[in-house]
Amino acid sequence: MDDAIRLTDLEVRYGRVRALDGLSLAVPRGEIYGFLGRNGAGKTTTLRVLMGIVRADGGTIELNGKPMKRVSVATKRGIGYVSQEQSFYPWMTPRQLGRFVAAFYPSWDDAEFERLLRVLDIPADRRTGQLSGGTRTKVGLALALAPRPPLLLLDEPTTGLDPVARREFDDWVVAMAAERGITVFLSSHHVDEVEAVATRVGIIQAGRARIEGRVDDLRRRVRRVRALEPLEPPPGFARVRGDVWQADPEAWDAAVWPEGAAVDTLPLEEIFLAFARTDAPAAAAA
Amino acid sequence: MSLALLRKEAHEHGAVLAATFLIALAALYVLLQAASWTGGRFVGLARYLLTIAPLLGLVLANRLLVREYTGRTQFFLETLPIGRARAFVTKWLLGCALMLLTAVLAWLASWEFVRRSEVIDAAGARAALLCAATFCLTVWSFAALAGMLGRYRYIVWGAVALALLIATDVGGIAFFDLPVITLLGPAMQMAVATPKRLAFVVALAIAAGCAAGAAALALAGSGAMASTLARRMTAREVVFAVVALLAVATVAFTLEPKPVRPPFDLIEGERFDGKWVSVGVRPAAAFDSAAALALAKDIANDADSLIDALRLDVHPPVYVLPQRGLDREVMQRAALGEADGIVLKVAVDAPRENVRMLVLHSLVSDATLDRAMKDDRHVLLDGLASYWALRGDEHARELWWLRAAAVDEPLPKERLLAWSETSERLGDCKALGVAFGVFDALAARVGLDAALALSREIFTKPPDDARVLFERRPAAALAAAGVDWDRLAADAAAARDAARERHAADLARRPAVTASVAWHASAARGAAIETTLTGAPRYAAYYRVLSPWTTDAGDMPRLDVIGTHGVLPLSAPRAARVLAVLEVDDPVLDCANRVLAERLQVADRAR
Repeated sequence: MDDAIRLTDLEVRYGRVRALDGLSLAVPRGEIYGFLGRNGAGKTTTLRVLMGIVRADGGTIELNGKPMKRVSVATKRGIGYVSQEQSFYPWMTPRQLGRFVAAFYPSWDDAEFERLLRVLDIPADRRTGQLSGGTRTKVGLALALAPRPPLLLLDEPTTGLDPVARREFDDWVVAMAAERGITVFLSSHHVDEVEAVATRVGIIQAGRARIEGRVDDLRRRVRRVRALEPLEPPPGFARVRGDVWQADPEAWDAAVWPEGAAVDTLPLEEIFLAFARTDAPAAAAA
Repeated sequence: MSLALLRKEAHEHGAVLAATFLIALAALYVLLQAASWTGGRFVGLARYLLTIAPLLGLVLANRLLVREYTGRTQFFLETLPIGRARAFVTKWLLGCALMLLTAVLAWLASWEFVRRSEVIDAAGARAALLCAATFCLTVWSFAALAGMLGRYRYIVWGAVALALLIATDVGGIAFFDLPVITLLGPAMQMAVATPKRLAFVVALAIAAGCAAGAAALALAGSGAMASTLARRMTAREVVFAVVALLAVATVAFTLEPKPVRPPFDLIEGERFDGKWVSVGVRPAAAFDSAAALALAKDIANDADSLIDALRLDVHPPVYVLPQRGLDREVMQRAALGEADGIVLKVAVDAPRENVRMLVLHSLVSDATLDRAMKDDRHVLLDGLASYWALRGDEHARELWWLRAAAVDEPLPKERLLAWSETSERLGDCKALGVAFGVFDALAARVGLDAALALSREIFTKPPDDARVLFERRPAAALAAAGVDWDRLAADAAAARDAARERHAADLARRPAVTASVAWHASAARGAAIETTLTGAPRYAAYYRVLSPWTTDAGDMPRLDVIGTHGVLPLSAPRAARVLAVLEVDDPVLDCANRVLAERLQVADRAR
């Protein structure tokens, strides 16, 4: 399967702070990729590198198979982007915004934008400064989708939205992705949201990817081992944190455990917590 | 350039910029009208560019550049497929074009305006346009750089304004010799020549530097620099900026050389050149050349010795014009405006020691920028000037002691420290006697050398800036010399008592005089003020209606009254305050003795 996004050893530094410290990940084409991490883990920086807003200090970026040092303006035309903060010109209406943004995208589809305004129930002629946070997020989604980009980047777009608005937004993303077959890269720290939407998940901590894969695959690789006596991970296993270990599914199936020991599969939230805690030891992504 | 961005800017800022341009147009019209009176072909244009162009640059930079960052819409712009550099260049060029457009339109309007009355050759006009355009380009370039500094932009504008001020006021550089501003100098204003090529090179270099700086700020750190700078200033930063600007301004004004007033020329009269001071005295009828020269010598000796004693750095020329017809007591000092010096008009028969005393008084007062006349030291000034004029003349000293002894009321330190009020009540004759006595008592208490050292400290030239706040107060200086105001007042009172004993016989010869003043309602004139004085065949009444802010009444109109009663020739409005003063010639004191000084409050309603 070819990848829509492939990042290798990506590094970004803000002064002495290493925002991304050798981040590597791959997002297969047509997938909805949930990018999980705590606040400050490097999610937004990763998306800004992908949007060409922030320049990477090291590593390589590959978009749709094309390697690049920095995302160019031409490449950006193929990317839709919804940020966590919709900082539109407050005096513009969604329709005026559409006309303004359209000038930058040769592939802009006016009819599609009008359709999205209708379908997403956006008041097209009210100033964006007067719209609610949820509606502004929908405007952001409509602006991102109207050029019909093959790649959609969502940077915690539902932050600050109420649960109903968040669910509506997520449903729309899933529907659009299915309808158009586009790749979606969704960053979030809401595990439930990612679990409901994403087909693949990556967890980032301190600027590095800790683990990634399909949700059910992660649950088969990361499990909790409960025993009467403290156990050390056998060869082929790695301790993630405490009694949460990581190994290939085959290793889990072949392992023989002492009497009284039990192995539990974990929900995604537990897996996220185990990897996202700052004191978790670095474990190679499987 | 991005057309979409240009359209957005036009939509977003069109109304504000149109209003700004209309205001600028109105300002241009006013400046052209005003300049037409002062002459000069492009004077109005130069003034317009110097005043309005920086404001326009500030507005444009705020609207086009700063607002995008403070409104956080810069981030939205960066999510679109338009390069950060392209967006910045579009905005910069738009601002530049608007500035240049303004310059061209202003130039055209100026040219049309001037061509009505003058013939201007095309080359001169083109040179003026070139200057105007280069100036506007540089101003815009700087405004854009300042704008990219976000919250510090006003500090940068303030710093540049301050730097220009320092360059002109402290550095002594002529305003139109300053870089960039020189483009709008006399050559451009008169449309007679193109400024030197170097002026353009410097201006364009500054413009290029500013543009490069603005671009660097816009692009550095993936635009993070400009975004960070756009945040609001913290309270600490505001305080630091204000204090820094105030500190620099204070230092600048401290360093600022004060204008030197040239001394006036002595061209007539008897002249005597002393060590420091040249004195001229004009002879008059009953005041021959010999008398004039003698007075000039005395004045020069007084002034030179006091300058040495107080180590003053002043050399004012002195000119005395004796005039017939003036009252013996009247001495007037002329206001010289821009020239330095002391010019006195006195009566031909004016007491010589009074003239000398007034010269010394004026000398110290001028040397201290009038701070010697503050109430907390004025009695010492009067005392020092009198003491110095009378030194070595025992007869005159005793006469002044006699005048001091004629004051039979107690004068504690509070009276000495409210000297303007005390001397108003006592009159010049007795007040100067008292002041003389105070300084004589001081010299007796601490010794003449110490009294002069004290005077040096009190009557020094003060800094003409904020440092004056930290000068030592006279009370502190007195205390340091081992004497305080209470002690000094007591010593002076004791010396007056002693003088009263010495001159008891003379004082007993003085006529007993009683005086009063009262007002009553007058059907014809509002309030009429009536004076009464018994014990003298005639007297002089002085009067003045006081405003709420009057402290020193200064010269007052005089009414000579023969007999007992007089009515002041003034129509005092209701609720007015009137100062009424009655004086009689006192042959014993040999001066006009003030027997009454009263500030009357005319009642609001007629009695």
